[in-house]
Amino acid sequence: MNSYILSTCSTLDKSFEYVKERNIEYIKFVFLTDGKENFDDLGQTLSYDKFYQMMRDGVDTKTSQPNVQDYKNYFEPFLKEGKDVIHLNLSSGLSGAQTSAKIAREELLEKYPERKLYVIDSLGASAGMGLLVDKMADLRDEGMSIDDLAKWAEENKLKLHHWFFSTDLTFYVKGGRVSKVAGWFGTVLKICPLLNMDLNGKLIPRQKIKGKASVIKEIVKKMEENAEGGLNYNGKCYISHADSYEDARMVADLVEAKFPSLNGKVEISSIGTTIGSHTGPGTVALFFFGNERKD
Amino acid sequence: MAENKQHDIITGEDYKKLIINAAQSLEDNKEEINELNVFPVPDGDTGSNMSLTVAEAAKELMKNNDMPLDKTAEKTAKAMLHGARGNSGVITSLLFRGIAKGLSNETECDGIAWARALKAGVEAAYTAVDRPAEGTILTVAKRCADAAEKAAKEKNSFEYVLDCAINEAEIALDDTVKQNPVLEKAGVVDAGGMGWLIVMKAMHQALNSKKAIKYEAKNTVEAKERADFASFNTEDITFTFCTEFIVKKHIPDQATSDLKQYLNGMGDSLVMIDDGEIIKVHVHTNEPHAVLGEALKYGEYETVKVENMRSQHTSKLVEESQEIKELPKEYGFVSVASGEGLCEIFTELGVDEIVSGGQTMNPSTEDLYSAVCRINAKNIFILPNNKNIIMTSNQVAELSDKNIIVIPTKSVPQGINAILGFDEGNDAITNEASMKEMVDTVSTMQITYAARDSSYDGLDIKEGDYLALCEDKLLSSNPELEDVISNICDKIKEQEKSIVSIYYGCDVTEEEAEKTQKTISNILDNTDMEINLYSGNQPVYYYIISAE
Repeated sequence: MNSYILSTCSTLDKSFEYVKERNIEYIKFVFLTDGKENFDDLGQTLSYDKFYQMMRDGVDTKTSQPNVQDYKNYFEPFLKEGKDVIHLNLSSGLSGAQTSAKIAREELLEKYPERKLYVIDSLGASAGMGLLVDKMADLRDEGMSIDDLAKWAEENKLKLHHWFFSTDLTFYVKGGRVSKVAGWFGTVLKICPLLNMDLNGKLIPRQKIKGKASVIKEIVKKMEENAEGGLNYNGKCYISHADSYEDARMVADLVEAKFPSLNGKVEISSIGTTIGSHTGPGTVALFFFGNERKD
Repeated sequence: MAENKQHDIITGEDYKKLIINAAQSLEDNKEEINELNVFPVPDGDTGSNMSLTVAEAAKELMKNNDMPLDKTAEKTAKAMLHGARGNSGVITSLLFRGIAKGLSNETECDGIAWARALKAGVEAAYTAVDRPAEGTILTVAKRCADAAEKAAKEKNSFEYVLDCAINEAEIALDDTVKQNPVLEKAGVVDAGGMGWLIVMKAMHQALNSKKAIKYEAKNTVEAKERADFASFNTEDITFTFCTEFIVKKHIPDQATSDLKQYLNGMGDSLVMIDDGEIIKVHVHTNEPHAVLGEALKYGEYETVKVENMRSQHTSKLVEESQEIKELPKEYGFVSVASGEGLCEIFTELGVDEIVSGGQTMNPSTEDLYSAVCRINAKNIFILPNNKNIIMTSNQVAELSDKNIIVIPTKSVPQGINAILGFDEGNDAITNEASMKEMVDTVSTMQITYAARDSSYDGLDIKEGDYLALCEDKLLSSNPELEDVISNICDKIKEQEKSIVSIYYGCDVTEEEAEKTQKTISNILDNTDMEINLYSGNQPVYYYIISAE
């Protein structure tokens, strides 16, 4: 019935098996290891273990966002086949890819005026995009039209909460994606900043917390405070992590214990090579639906 | 006494003599006052602090001759305000500031004027102290002033009034033992009160002295402590090329502190503005090519201008460049700390200026004020990190045009926690509240040594014993380190805490510190507790231990 394409970016940080099963297309971002180009194909070519080990060993990692042509090359085959596309893109607060995607859209619609191509700025990242696109896949499967789905996504994207912390700040400082303000990077004191994504899709350090045990408790508290229905939250909960499965597991255990109505178990996935190039190992991120982000 | 003449009236030149003699007398007697400090902790002591405070005035007055009385008193007060160290130093400076106010527009001072001045001094001091306590320098000064007021009614003579004030000060000082339970336990009179009595007595003595009155410091610790701050902003013209450019950043909001650091190393007269999207730089350097190359890493050029300053067209350019004034940032931090490790921790936490001191010498108001002046920020938080530096910090607010917010931290761990409560995104008032809240979540214990034999609350303390302090109270003293550590652990166990941080001092080796960490870990015997060890390199305190 619904033959449109649901699409997102490789930065959704869910597994290859997952996107296949849910029938979600994705555009591969490019990351560089010591200058060499690789496609982010959800860990198929380069395993995440290997990738994070390379970072630890000092391999220089960078990312390169898809340009207009890359987006055109990605979208065009769908349109050519006569399919409409709804694409959920990585936050414009983190990357210029959104601009490229929009330009590509305009150019393609001139060529294919009868087609629909929605490009939605997710104002999200990692499994936060993952959780949003998962819900969109549900709605698609329930028969929602592409127009309604685009409307739904715009209206609901800010309800997707992203909270995360890192036990190793080396790469955050290097990457410059989080502005370095007083006190956020106390590496000597092993300070774990707790960050979230603000309403503009930018990463904002919110609290400085001493010690991993405390930050794990605090991140779950954020979910208690913000989740839809509080402790009665009955949506899904995703966690993504950069080579920190044990910490992710601890957060998941706490969440499962606190939120008995959760829709299924907490799903843990790895932070992929694009986002991971910036976070480095040590990051754990928690995603859930909640009150609308206000700041 | 050669003459039996009463000094009914004094002039500016007399007042100068009186102040200089007071400074000398405090200098001569500072050890005696220091020994009154209740806990024999080798901290910045009351005697040393008062002596250094009054000495600032003496030195200033010695540079000037034949000033009228009101000017002399004003100069005295101003020098002390800047030179004030420690709580007793600040109170002394406030007393003299009030006195100066009482003597304004006066060329001479008789008994009535002196009584009025002393009273004004006490008023100035009382208003500045949050919770004036009985049995301190304040009560001694107040009773002095009351006695002076009464005496002035009997006889309008400066000397007579001063004499009566001194007699009352002696009694008031003796009474401090009973008024303050801490003093009572230690069986001593108040150190600051003693200092005030010495000041009054020295002033009286100077009235009748035949000898030339001068001030000589006994040692030069102060000069050494201050040497660090010299040689900022020297404007040697050693860099030829005035280099200006604007770079539009590849990544908005990318941190540029590394670039700033690099540029600082490449030349002088650096002005760098980073508004998130673009970076605007003005720098004098001999290697413009290298500077421009480095900047390229952050984005692409909007404009570039390089000019040889030795050629003709320079003056206009320099004028233009001076128009680029870096906007003040919203927040800045001054923290008091000593020890390389602690300084590094504070720097990493974003503190702009670290003022040396805390464990040994207490910094003066001037030291803190000049640190504040070096920061281009609208709001500046001061973290005194020592009970005895809080008042000095409060004084800075009066000197500075910036919004100075003193978070009254009494220890290094409190200072660290205060910063953790700071959030760039919040306004100053919200930040002040959350920083203060964070301060209360940590308890501080410290281990040092007894600087001299002493007894307190029936406890016999021998010189060299280990002293354990909890917050600012004496917890225990013992010749064995393990024993005081075990006392500290008991204290930690009493509270519900999950993180213990140990900062070891410069007199402790890493191996010894690791052993201590192990001992603490064994005694606490709690797997849920995180116990971290840091090298603080702080003097005097072997260990600063915090639990939160």
